[in-house]
Amino acid sequence: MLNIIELEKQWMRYKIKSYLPHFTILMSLLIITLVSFLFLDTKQQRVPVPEQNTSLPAVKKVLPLAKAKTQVKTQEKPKEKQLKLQPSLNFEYALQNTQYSPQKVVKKEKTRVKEVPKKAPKILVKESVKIHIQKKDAKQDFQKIIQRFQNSNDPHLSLFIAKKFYEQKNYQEAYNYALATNKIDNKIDESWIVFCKALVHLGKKKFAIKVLKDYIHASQSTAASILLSDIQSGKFR
Amino acid sequence: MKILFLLLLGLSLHASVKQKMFHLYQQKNFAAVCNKGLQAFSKNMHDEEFLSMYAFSCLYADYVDRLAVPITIMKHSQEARANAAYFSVILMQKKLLFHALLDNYDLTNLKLPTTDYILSKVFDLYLKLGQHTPKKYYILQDPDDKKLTYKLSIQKGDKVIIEEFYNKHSVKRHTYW
Repeated sequence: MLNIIELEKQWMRYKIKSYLPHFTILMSLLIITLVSFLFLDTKQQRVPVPEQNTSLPAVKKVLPLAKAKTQVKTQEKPKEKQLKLQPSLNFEYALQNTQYSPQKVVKKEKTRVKEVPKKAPKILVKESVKIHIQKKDAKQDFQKIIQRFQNSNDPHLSLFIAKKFYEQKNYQEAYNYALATNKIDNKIDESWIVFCKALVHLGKKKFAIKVLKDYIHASQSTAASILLSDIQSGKFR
Repeated sequence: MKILFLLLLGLSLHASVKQKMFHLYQQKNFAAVCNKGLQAFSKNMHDEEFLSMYAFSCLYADYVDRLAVPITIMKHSQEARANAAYFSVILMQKKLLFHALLDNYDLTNLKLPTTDYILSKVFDLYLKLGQHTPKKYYILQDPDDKKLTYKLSIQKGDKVIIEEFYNKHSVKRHTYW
């Protein structure tokens, strides 16, 4: 008869012996990794923490480090630039150059509906082409405005023309149209300002100051007094 | 035939409103443009040129609350989206300034984008004050121009007043409510 119990015990010992090398290797690996992690952690912790039993000079050594850290923080602050949003005023040019015939309005609405689902780069190309055409129209419109002023003698038109010439740095024409505006209506602040600014650019600073003083005396305009102080201080040249 | 006539009439009316508004806009009569735009808003709300002109006029006339509706609609082009973001910042700054001035809400650690609009300038200068005891009014100096100062105050408990001073002379007064 076979002794089954004894056989089972032998089989168990055999199994344990066969698994033992694997187990020992695994355990040793685990221990090594754990020990290495602990060792690294202690190394990292030791660097920033100053020892408690240190004398005064040692504390002094630590202080410059702290100072350096605060300096870095304070230097970082000015680098943070505040985001500044800019408005887009292209609609002004577009409106200036559109003549409101019903057909054109219909066309515009159609193109706008098409623009929405299309990809952004395509729209950009279309817009740039439009701007090019508008520039040509702007010149024609400006000539039309001059003609309209010659027919109607409207001071608002002449003021607009004076401003446009001033923007284009055509100071002689800006002076002429501002003068024409003042002759038609001498109570428009902006016209006097353009007139005097053009005078300064034409090298007649003293005359501009005299005109501004007279105008301020008559109207007590704050905008004119600001311009006067700017001219006198040399801020406006 | 009648339908076509009515359609043409409608379109010409639309154009004439826009034309009138632009004429007023060129004359810098921004309050009038804003009011006209408000009346004609529902008929022109899909026209982005109209929306931009209406919104900028309301902004220049200090009717900042009227920007809320254009902000939500302006989204179909790059320009419209840029302007919508610009208006949103101003509207938010106005609301925060109200909250801070009327309820002493602390804005010290707030970082927002800014704009070239007067309200944004004053908002930024107010933030720079940091934590402080509330005052009846604040005199804030422009960092770029020493002659330029702003007086920020509350009127009747529901209006915020910003007054621009140049060389101690009052130049312009903005009222927000």
